[in-house]
Amino acid sequence: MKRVILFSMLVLLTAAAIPAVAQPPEVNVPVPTGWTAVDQEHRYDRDNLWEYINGAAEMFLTYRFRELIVADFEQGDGAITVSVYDMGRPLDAFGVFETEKPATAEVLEGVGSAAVLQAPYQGLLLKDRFYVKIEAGGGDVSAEALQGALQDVAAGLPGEGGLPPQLAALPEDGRVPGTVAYAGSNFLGFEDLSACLYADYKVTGGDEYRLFVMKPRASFLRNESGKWAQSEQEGRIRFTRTVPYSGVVVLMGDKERLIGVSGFDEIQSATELLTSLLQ
Amino acid sequence: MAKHDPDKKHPCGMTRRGFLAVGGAVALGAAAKPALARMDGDQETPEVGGPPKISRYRTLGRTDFKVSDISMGCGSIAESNVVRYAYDHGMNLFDTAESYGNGDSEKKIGEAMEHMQRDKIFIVTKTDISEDPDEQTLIDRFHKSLERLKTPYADALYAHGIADLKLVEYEPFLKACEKLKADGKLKHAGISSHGPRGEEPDAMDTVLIKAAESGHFDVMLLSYGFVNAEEGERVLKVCKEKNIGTTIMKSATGLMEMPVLDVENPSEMIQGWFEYLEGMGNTREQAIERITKYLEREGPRFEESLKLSKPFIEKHGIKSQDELDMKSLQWVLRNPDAHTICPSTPTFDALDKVLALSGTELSAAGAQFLDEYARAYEAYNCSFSCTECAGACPHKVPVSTIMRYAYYYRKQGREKHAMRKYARLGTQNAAVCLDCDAPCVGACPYGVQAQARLFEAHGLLTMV
Repeated sequence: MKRVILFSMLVLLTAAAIPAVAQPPEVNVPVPTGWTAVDQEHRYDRDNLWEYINGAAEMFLTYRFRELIVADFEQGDGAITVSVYDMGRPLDAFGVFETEKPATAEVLEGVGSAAVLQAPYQGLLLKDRFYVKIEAGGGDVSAEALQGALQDVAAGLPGEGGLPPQLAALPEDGRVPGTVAYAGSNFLGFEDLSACLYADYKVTGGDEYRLFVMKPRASFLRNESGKWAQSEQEGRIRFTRTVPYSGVVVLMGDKERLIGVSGFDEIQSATELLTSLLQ
Repeated sequence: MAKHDPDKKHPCGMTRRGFLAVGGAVALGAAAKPALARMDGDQETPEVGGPPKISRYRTLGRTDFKVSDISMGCGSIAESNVVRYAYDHGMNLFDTAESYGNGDSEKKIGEAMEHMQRDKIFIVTKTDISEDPDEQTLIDRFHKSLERLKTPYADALYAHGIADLKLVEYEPFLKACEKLKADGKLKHAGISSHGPRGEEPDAMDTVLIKAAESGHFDVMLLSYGFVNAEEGERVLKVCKEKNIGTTIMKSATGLMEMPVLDVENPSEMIQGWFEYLEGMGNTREQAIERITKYLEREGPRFEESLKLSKPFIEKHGIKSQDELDMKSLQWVLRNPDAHTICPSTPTFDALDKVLALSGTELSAAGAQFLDEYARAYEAYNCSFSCTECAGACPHKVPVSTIMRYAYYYRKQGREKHAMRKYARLGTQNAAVCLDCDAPCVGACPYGVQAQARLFEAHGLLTMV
């Protein structure tokens, strides 16, 4: 029996591994001007991220998180920790940035793709596939020093500025400013709604709803969970489900792309909205 | 969304709340079948709802709070309605941290707060003390947590993820807690630990037992499951003596899925690989090629393993990963000294699954299965989360470090990285084990044969 179990263990261990792939060139933490590195960089991946950030790792793993590179710097009495999260692609970096961005933070223009400052403790930066967090770890670190470090790190990271082009998939009419975001998984509290780009909308007349776009997984199209009602509507696939406390969620489209809406009481009116958008 | 009104009548004439209540009764009677809500006349939409509720509450140590035996781990909460749903179904402890989503997890709980009766719930948040923050900084950060949580007080503030004995009695944290308690903003100080990490070397049980004996903490969060039973039970025993409230995390097992490449209908695991590879710039074709090669390389081992493990899985009637995970939770639930377990439940469906376990007991067959699984797991795998064997090696070989590198190599596919790390150990590597009469044999309380595993790791990491 023991032998059987041991082999079973091997299956479990091996099956959990992601096949080895050619890695892109290694990225290092850019050294902010005037700061001196303390010790060497530390690197964490999907399997040991929790060692550094404990349960906070869970959220990152719902995206395509690939690697975290951390470096400590000091300048006089001040110390900062720069954490560069390689999120695999810009859309995932955007999703994490939008999730972690405090509502009250000061927006910094012209730094990376986007940046905010929450003095006195931290600055957040988005650039290409990187999400960066700079935290004041000790001594006096001014808002100017944090901002300067953000600028230097943004300049030192590879990749393009600008926001991910996928954001254009969401219509602009009626969109509530500042609500565009991206959920790696568990969107609306459903485990089979993953990789959803979404925004809130308010149209004349008062209707409020949340619109989202996703490329469905095969398991979703097969309705493996059995939790969705599936039908065809004017030549398109339609999935519907009730959301606790929030009416219904309806998705329509094809195997490549589904557009969905939540916040309606009735399937019919949600379907009408989606039909008009798809046309 | 503002447009939706939960009290609005459905076409069938019932309010949503009334409808959900009936749906719940139907679902309980119908076991696994989802309740069905008739929505628009032409279509039946499966209703989320109708799940069981929490059926057992335990006293959370000296806090005297009656805590649900299953509570909510909020590490990846992305939707506040999920929190509200948990509360409505009897969960009453919500475990979060300032670092979860950089405060977003606390924010989601805060958004649900208006739907919860504050004195009926227990809010735990955590703060990082690894960077030596001063007392005022900790107080300021805690106030930000309260703002996000939309509550005038928290029930507990934990020193987060402690793996260094020196931090157990970190004075600024203890003073900050006393100040916050005096101001009515905090009820209890607590502590959590996952075991050693990075440069912080101390084992979970060493840290938490010291914390329990210090008298500073009323509650704590620990890792406890059938694969690290003894370590967890050492902590629970002291907590019981000291009447400290205990919350359990990380009780589930690893994966149990056989990877098979079906390009048209990939499994969730294969789909995850596709997304990962494509996210790294591979085309679909390149991703297929890489996965195919990987499975070809590992195929014979998969086949042999599956053939051998099949009778075992059949004997215990294990049908899915979910089932194994649920049994793992039940294993913890049977221990009354583990007051509440807080699995990560970011979705309605995940909540439905764990709610059904409240108050249940693991069957004798289930317990036997897990015991056998645990023995096999312990005998083969160094968890590298403890340092129990450290003193047994006359050559000071860093056993758990080498085991970790072997893990990087095997499980993470980071061969070069692991080998480079191993090479940096210089002469302090496992080569010395070849000529050693192995006083380490028997040193591992979990039965891991360290010398054999070190031989294996050395071969792996040096290509010898």
